[in-house]
Amino acid sequence: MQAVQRFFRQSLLSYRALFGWLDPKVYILVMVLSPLSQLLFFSVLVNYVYSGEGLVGYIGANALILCVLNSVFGIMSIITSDRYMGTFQHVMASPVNKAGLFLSRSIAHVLNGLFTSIIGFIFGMMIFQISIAPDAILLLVGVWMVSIFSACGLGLIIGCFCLWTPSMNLIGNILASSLLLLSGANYPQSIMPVWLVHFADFIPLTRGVELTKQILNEGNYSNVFALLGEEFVLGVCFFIISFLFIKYAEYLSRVRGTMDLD
Amino acid sequence: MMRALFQTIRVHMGISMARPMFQFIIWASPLFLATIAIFIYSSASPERIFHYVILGSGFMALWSSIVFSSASDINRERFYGTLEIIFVSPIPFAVILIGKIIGNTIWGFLSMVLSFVYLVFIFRVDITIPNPFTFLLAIIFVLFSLTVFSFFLSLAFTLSRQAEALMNFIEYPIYLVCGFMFPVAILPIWVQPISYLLPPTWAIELLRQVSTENSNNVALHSSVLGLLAVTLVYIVLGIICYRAVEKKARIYGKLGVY
Amino acid sequence: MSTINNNIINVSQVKRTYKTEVGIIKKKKKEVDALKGLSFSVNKGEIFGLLGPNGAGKTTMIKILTTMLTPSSGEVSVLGLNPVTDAKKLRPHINFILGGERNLYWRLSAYDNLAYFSDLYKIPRSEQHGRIQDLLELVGLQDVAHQRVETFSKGMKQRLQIARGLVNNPEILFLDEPSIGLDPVSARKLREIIRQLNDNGTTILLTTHYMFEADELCDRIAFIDKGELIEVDSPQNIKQKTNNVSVVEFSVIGIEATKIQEFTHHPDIHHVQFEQQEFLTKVKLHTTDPQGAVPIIYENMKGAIIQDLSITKPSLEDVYVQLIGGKVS
Ligand SMILES: Nc1ncnc2c1ncn2[C@@H]1O[C@H](COP(=O)(O)OP(=O)(O)OP(=O)(O)O)[C@@H](O)[C@H]1O
Ligand SMILES: [Mg+2]
Repeated sequence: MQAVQRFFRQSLLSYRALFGWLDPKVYILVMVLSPLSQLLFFSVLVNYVYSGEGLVGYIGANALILCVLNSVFGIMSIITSDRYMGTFQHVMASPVNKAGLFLSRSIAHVLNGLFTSIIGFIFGMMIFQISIAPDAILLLVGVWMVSIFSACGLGLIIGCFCLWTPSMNLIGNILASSLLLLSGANYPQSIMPVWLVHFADFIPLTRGVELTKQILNEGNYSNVFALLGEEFVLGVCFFIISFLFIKYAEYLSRVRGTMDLD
Repeated sequence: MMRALFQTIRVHMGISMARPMFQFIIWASPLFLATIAIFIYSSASPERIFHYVILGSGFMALWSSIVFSSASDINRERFYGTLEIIFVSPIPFAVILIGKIIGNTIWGFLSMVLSFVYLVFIFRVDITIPNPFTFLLAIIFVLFSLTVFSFFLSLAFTLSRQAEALMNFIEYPIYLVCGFMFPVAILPIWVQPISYLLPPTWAIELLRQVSTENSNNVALHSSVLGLLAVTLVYIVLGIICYRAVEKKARIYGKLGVY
Repeated sequence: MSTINNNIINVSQVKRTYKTEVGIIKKKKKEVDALKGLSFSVNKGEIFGLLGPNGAGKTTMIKILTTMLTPSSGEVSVLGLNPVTDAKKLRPHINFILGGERNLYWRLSAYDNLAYFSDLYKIPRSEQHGRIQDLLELVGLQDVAHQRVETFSKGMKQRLQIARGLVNNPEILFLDEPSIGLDPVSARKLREIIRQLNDNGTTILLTTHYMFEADELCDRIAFIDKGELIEVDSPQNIKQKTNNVSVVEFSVIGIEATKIQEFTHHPDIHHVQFEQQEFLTKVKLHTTDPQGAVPIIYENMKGAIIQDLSITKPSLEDVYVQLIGGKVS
């Protein structure tokens, strides 16, 4: 019980300590308004080009992708921000279990991403005056939760890269653009060249976006378990890889002395 | 004076490119957006692809590098406390600012060309411009107009901190309101007047007109006149802002206050 | 007195090389020997000072002792454990503080910072509250406990760092330049806290560039330079070692520094420092024969005005300067 409590306390405190967007004005601007404006742009565009066909699915997919991007940036801050503040070395030298720690730090960002995506989706539905089947809602939340978890896993890996390079913003933006491009949030995946589709299979959110479209547009729930399972496994793999990276960084710092964790 | 201007352009182009984020804006971002746009418009006619994908993503590149970067350049100078130093240097601040903007414009233009080339070679989009010479003139006019707009915006952002916070969030709203990737006509009626107050709307409109085969002269002329009019308006606004900034710096001494 | 068993830290023949690559295109491997076979030990309950010029290897040594870095060779034991292989076992019993304003979460309050690190050190929740209160009181931050750290002054941040370093009630506390950038009053307060901790039984290993601070605080001091041990002993003994040396200090107006250098080549005068101020030059020299040195000074500076001449025993700083040999001019 102690451990569970500690897990969530750490999650909350790190979120506040490292993310710093808790200032309501900034939070709304960065976490809500900015993705909403992107959502609006893509929704209007897609609505125009496809003459409204499959709109609700595209809005859902965009809400998922665009609102999650901030979570991905947020999760990168778990490492980069800690290092920037000079606390990373203290954290690494403490006896706490590192995998548990980084997982607990990630949880807040997963929930945050879920929250903003839902807001984004509601906003999109209101603007375009559409509604969805009530039985889809719970399923959608589940799908999104897993997809965001998986995206956060990749975000954590990218955060580790930032221990090697100072250009966190650059890498973060490349990641964000790639997710937007590869997930197929704004077009059927079939349009993409085959090799890109194969590549997209290893990217988080691809399956989440596909499921979102299937659920919202076709009312097709049949692939949920298969695809969601894959997405979850993908997320777990990302987290494991990121832990290995953290371990490797620690090794470089301790033994080789080629990396400064401060 | 001219020497100072060229010097600023040269130095600034180097400084900008040294920033990884700027490299992303110039080299990578347009390619991502162009790819997304071409996938969305995959089954559209070549003309629509030219108008909305090629011009649209090219314009996003221009917008990001010219306007967005120029405004944030000024902001950065303020953050590092160098803005006041620039301001009191013997070269007029306007020259330095224009130099910066021209530097970004050159990069932005290259970025636009890059996204053209990318779409033509990778996605085999064919570009047929009925009257290349007119098109070139139009491009020059458009670049000039965006430079003016950028001059105004950078100064406006210098004046107000609220505006400065806004700057980071106007990228997509501008794509939206100015109709970079779709006609402005599909936007709600009440949005359109705002669209036509902004030079990018007229600018992209003009480029679409000059690249349309047998476009009618009335539409072409009206977009030329429209762009000319808004450009003049922003020249005046730019001068007013410049005076205000000067006043703020010299009389109130508040420029460096961050 | 202290026996071998009393050694809580043992460092023997520790070497550490950093391999770095310089140049982007033509990568050249460069090796820096930060520690070249350092040996010393620290007794339980003592305040031990690690002193030396910039780049001497102090931080490197602290990083090795706190499990953050492994030595290239040599033996290290802390609390009977090897920081390389037993890092997990060792970490709960030690803590470290790096001077400066960083190493805290600025966006959290002082209290939350301590709560967070308490969790990292797995302090049971039931003990946390009381402990944090005590720590805040110890460092005099109880009134601002719920204020965000970003609003703190440098001194307050440094004191909070001390509290952070104590969340796990460590047996050994490592401090790397804890008083850097503090005003005299804050620095004194910090020294009081350190002494208080020590009175309560915490062993302390600190580095500092302030000699009087080391003199005042430390039971024993190690001078290191370029990764090698120069001297290790109590401040008193170290000063004793140069007992036959006196320090002659004076200010002089109306003479050029080169002129002073000429006559100070006298065999009895060992070490000369100048400090050129606006109108006058401050001169400090070490001599075994002050009675002989003073007349030489006056003879050679006829016409110049000599002020504030004093003959004193060497301070720790004088010894340091002499041992490390850095001529401050
Ligand atoms: N990560 C590193 N990579 C390469 N060389 C390093 C690294 N860290 C330290 N060094 C080198 O090792 C030597 C000792 O450094 P260290 O930081 O231990 O000195 P210090 O005694 O703490 O100095 P200061 O008083 O300036 O803090 C220096 O020459 C330094 O340049
Ligand atoms: Mg150091």
